[in-house]
Amino acid sequence: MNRRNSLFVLGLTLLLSSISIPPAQPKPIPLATTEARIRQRQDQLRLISPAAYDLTRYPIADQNERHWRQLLWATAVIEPQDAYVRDAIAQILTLTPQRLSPAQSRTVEMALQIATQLYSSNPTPNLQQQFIQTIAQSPNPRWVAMSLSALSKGGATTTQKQQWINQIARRFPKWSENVSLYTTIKELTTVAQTPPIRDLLRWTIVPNQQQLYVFCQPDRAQLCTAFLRDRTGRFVRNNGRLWSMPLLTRSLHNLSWNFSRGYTPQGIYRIEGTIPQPDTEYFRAYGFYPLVQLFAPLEPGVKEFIPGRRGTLTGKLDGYKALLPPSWREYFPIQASYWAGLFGRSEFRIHGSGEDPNFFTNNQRYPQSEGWNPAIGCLSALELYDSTGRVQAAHMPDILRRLGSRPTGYLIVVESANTPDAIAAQINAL
Amino acid sequence: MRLFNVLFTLALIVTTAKSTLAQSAADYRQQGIQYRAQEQFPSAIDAFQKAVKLDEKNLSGRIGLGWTLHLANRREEAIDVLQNTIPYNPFNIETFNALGIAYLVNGDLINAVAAHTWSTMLDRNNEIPFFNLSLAYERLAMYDWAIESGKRAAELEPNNPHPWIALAIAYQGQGDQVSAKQIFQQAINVDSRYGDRDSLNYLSRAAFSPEQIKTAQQLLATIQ
Repeated sequence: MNRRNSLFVLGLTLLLSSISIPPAQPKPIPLATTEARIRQRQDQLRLISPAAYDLTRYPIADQNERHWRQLLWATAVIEPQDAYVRDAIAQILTLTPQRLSPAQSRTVEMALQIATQLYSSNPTPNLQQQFIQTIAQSPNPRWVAMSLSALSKGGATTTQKQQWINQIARRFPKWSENVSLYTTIKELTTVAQTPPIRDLLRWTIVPNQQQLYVFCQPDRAQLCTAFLRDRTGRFVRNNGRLWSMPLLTRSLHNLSWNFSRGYTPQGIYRIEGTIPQPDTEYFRAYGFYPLVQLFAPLEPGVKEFIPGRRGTLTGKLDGYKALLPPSWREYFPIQASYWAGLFGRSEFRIHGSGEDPNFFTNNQRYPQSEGWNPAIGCLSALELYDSTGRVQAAHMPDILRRLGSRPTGYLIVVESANTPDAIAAQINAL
Repeated sequence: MRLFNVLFTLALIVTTAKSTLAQSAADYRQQGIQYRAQEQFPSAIDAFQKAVKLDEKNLSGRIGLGWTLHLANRREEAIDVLQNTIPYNPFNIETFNALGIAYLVNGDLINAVAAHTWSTMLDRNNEIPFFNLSLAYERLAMYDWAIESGKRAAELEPNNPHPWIALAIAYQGQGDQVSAKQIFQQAINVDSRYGDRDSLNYLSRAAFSPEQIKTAQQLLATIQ
């Protein structure tokens, strides 16, 4: 490459890097003002009324898909405690055994997601009954798995769970070949001891790549903590202290990792570039800053899951296991990102949020992560605005700066009962 | 005219100096290889160090230095040099072959597996990492992985007895004595010296651990 070309590339790189990480916004963002946020929540509240949930007025038919999509989203945001809401959702779930059109199926699936959310905070008998009926009668293995998972979250006993698993095994003799059923049952029936964290901290997935570790508690309502290991294998420090960053991986619907819109699966992801912001259309969901793009091992669209090799990871499950330290290879929970990518979960990102933390009612139940918004699979960074719409605090700029302007590397999500301080102590002792 | 002469002389000095430097690094590398062949490790290391100092980016010099340090049993230094070679080209197989062996002999099995696994990703037909992976997994008691790696190593290098012995002790660890004996016999067919118990001690030079050599000797006793 001649000198002129080099200068051009350098100039372009500087230009792109200056575009990709905008400075903290000095100007107010209209969508983030208190007034706009009150209006937004009122828009959702207005949708909640007994008439809107009336199935005789709005039967589950193709032409009503939009109505139910909006209403069920409002239900997820507001979490109304009125009995008529749960009755209507339970009524929708009576359809799970039936043959349905694609539009009807989408509505029923969304109802199952919202039912899981409502049931996990308050396991009422009307929803429980429909989950049990789905296990007994639905031909859709994913819905059966979602129902089993929801019942387990709602405090089912070991005996009950075993009965349902037996029932599923009778109804679906090839259950182990269905990813939803296999992962749900495997998780419920396997007690795996977490292998040594130290092995994971010392392990190099691919040489000369940065590794962003995200350690989470098994309860995803707690904040996770990210630590970054640079390309040379050293953990990044800030003024001599280990650099870390809190992130939330909780699913708004309290769905498990193995369902669409569930919490972030454990395991390895490829970090491959960013998605530019600001884009006012997506400001509320994804915040003002660029999003870090992640790819699960078998998720299409990745340029190179392994550097130098085009496309997704090859070698099936053994290929994935080879990316892990030997002591972690048979540990089922760390395989979650592999299975999630296999059954089609996609578009995992690290991003902030333009939503007011008061927008989601269920944030009130989790004071330990106050300020962070839940996601539907992504890793959520803090992003707060004042009443005039000016940014008050935002973590994405620091994350983006640490990862570099066109980041590549790997992200590893791991559940561990260790506190962030205990993990930091292990890193410092390496 | 005088200015031209000055510039010409300067240019001559610069170009000559540059070619002398490049030549010196290559010379030192060559010297290092020769000393190493004679097992004069301190002199070989000295020569490679000079080569690396003169031409930091040259991978042959860096890998030569790392490998010679490994042969001289200066393992930590070897690992340090080879680790620092990675950023110059993370796709160079020789770096990872050497680094993986240094880790393996040093008993750092996790890093040995990491380095050799990356080597296998760079080239599925590279026999060195598969053989070393087989040894590392056997030491980690991960016999399934040891067998798979050993099979691939033996497939790639069927005329070398070492992969066969590695595969045989992996089967032994798994409890499959029938396969272990058959495979060990295959190693003896390739090189009859391995039918002699004392010859097996030479396996330490091929990165077998003392326990693995002992296992191989016990296995040999069962087929004699």
